[in-house]
Amino acid sequence: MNDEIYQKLAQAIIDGEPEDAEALAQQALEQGIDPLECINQGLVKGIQKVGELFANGDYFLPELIIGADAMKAALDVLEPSLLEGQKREVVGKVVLGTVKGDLHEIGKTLVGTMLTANGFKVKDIGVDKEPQEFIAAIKEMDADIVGASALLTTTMLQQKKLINAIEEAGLRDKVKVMIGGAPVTESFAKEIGADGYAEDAISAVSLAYRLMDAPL
Amino acid sequence: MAERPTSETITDLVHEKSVEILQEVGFCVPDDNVLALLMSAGFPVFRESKMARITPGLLENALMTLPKDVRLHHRSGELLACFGNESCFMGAGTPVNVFDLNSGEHRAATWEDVCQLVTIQDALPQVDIVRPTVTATDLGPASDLVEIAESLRNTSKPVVHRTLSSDRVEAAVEIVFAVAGGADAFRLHPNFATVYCPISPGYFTPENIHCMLRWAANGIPITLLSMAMGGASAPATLLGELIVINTDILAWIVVLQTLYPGTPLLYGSVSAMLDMRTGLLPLGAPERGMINSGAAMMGRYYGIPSMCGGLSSDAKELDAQAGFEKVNTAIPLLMHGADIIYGVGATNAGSTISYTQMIFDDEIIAGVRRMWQGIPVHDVSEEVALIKSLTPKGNFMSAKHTLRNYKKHWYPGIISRDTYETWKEKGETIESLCRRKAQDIVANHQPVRLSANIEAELEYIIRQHLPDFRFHNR
Repeated sequence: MNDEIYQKLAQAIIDGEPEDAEALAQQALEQGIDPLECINQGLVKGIQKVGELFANGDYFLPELIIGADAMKAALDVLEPSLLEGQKREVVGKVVLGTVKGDLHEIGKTLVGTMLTANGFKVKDIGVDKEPQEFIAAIKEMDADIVGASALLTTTMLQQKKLINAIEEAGLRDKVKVMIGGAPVTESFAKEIGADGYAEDAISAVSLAYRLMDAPL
Repeated sequence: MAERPTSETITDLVHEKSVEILQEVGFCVPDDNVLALLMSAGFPVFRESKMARITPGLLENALMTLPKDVRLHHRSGELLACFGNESCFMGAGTPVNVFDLNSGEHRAATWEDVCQLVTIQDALPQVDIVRPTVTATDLGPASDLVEIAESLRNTSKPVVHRTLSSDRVEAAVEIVFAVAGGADAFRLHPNFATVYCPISPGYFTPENIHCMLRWAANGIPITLLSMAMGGASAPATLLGELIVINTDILAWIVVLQTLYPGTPLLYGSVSAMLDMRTGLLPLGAPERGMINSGAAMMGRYYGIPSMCGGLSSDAKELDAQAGFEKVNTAIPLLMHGADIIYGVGATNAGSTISYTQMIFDDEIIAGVRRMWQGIPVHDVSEEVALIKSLTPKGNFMSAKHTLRNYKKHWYPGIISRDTYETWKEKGETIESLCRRKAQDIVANHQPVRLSANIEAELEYIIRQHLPDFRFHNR
C-alpha cells in the first residue's frame, strides 16, 4: 500500500508532473503515511532516476527541470509535516544569486535546479543582489556554500566585492564561494579568491560536491 | 485547423503577433523618468509594473519616420559600396578573452589586442565593417571609450561599438564627431553605428536605455540587437523565437522613433537556440544561422538594414568543426540577404576571439562570396565559336578567352591545393599559415592614421574618464 504511493511519487517526478506530485503528497499525508519515508522512498528515488536518465543522455535539461519542479511541489507539502526530530538529509545548504547590476536569471536558476535535484537545499535570492543581501541569506540559512553568478563583463567584478564582503563579515571560513557566468574563467576565480568555478550547471554540481567533501 | 504560414507570410505573421503582444502586454521600461517621457508621448504606461504599450497610431508614425536609406561610410566619407547591395561582413565581439597572437594561449584580452585585431581587420579585404572584437580588460570600466577611439584610428572602415555607461556616451559622441570633422560631417557620411541588446523577453536595462537615448539625441545610428535564447528567454521553436526577437526590437523602434524621429536604426539579432544537454548557447549550430536569417527578413520588411549573427563556431581551435560551423551558419544569412553578417574572428561560442580564426574567416568569406555568385548569364557567342573550332580534342588553355576569364574564379590564399608530396614537403598547417599571416599584418600593415591634432583631441576627451591616458604609438 505504502509502496504503491512511494512508487507513484517517484513516477510523478520521472514524468515531470508537478500537479500530480503535489496531489500524491497531499494524499499520502491524509492517509497518515510517514512524510520522511515519502521523501526518501518516493521523491529521492524519483529524482535519482531522473539524474540517471540525464547522465545516460535519455533526458535533457527540460525533463530535469520539470522533474525538480515536481520534487519541489511535493516537498513543499511534505516538509512542513515532518515529525519532530525528523530532518530531510541534504548534502549541503547553498545560497545562490546574481550579483549587483546584473539581471541575468536563467543560468543561476538552472544551477539551483541541478543542485536541488542532486540533494542540496538551495535558497535562490534572485538577481541584482548586493553583497549584504547574500550575507543575510548565508546567515539565515547557515549556508555551506554561496554561488554568485555574473553574465556581464562589467558585473563580474562584483563577484570579487562579494568575496571581500564575506571576509569582512567574518564568514569566509564558514562558507565556500563558487562563481559562474559566461565571461568568468577558472583563472578569474583564482584571481579573486573564489573556492571554485563551474562553467555550466552540470559541473556546478560536481564542484559543490567537491566543496562539501562529499562523494558524488 | 489553423492556416500554416508560408515563407512569404512569415514576416506578416511575425509583425502581426508582435503588435498583438506590444498592445496587450507591452514591454518593461525600468525607469520612472523614461516612463514619464513615454506617457507624455502617448504610450499607455503602467507605473507599478513599469510596463508600456504601443498604440496603432504610435506604430504607424514610427514606421513612417524610420529612415529607409541608412548608409555606412568609410572614414574618408566614401560610401561602403557593398552595404545594401550584398551581405557585408563584420568583426565579432566583444568578449573578454583572446587566443594569444603568438603562443595561442587562452588569456584575458587587452588594449594591445584591440589595436592589433582592428589593424588586422583593416588589412583583410573581406572584412567590410570593423569592431574592436575584444574588451580591453586591462583598462577598467572606461575601456569602451578607448575601444571606440582605437577602432576609429586603426582602421578607416566603418566601425560598430557601444558604451556601457550613459556617463560616457557624451565622450564617445565627441570622439566620433571629432574623427568625422564635426556633427554635420558625421551625419552626412556616418562611419560609426552603436549597438544595444535587450534582455528577452521585453526588457532593457535602465543603463542601456539611457545610453540609447543619448546616442539617439545625437543622431547616431543605433542597432537594436536581440540576443534571444530559444528554449530559455524565448520559445523553443524558431518561429516562436523570431516573434520574441521582433517584439523586443519593434518596441524600441517605436520608442526611439517617437522620441527622436528619424534616428537611423539597424535591425540586429545574434540569437541562438539553447543546447538542452548542457544549458550552453551553441553558436555553431545550424539553428544559429536559421534564426538570425529571420532578422534579415524582418529588417527588410521594415526597410532597415539587418545585422545578423553568423559565421560563428563553438570550436576551440582552427579545425574541421570551425570550418563546418563557420560556413554553415553564414549560408542562411547569405540566402536571406542579411546586410551585415556578424562574426569575423569569433570562436568558442563567441566567448573568445582568435587571431588565426580571423585570418581564416577572411578566406572563408572570399570563398562563400564567390560561391554565392552562381552561374552568371551572359552572351556566349565567343564560347560557342571557340567550342566549334576546338571540337574534337582541342585544348582551351591557349585560347585568349581563357586568359581573359580564368582569374574570375577563386584562388585561395591559405588552404592547400597542393599534391600530397608538395604539401608534405612544405610542412605547413592552416594554423601555422594563419598565425604567420596575422603576425605579418600586425608587424607591417599601416592603417591610414588620423591627424596629430585629432589624436590629441581624442586623448583629451578620454582623459576625462581615464586620467593620464595616451595612445601608445602616436
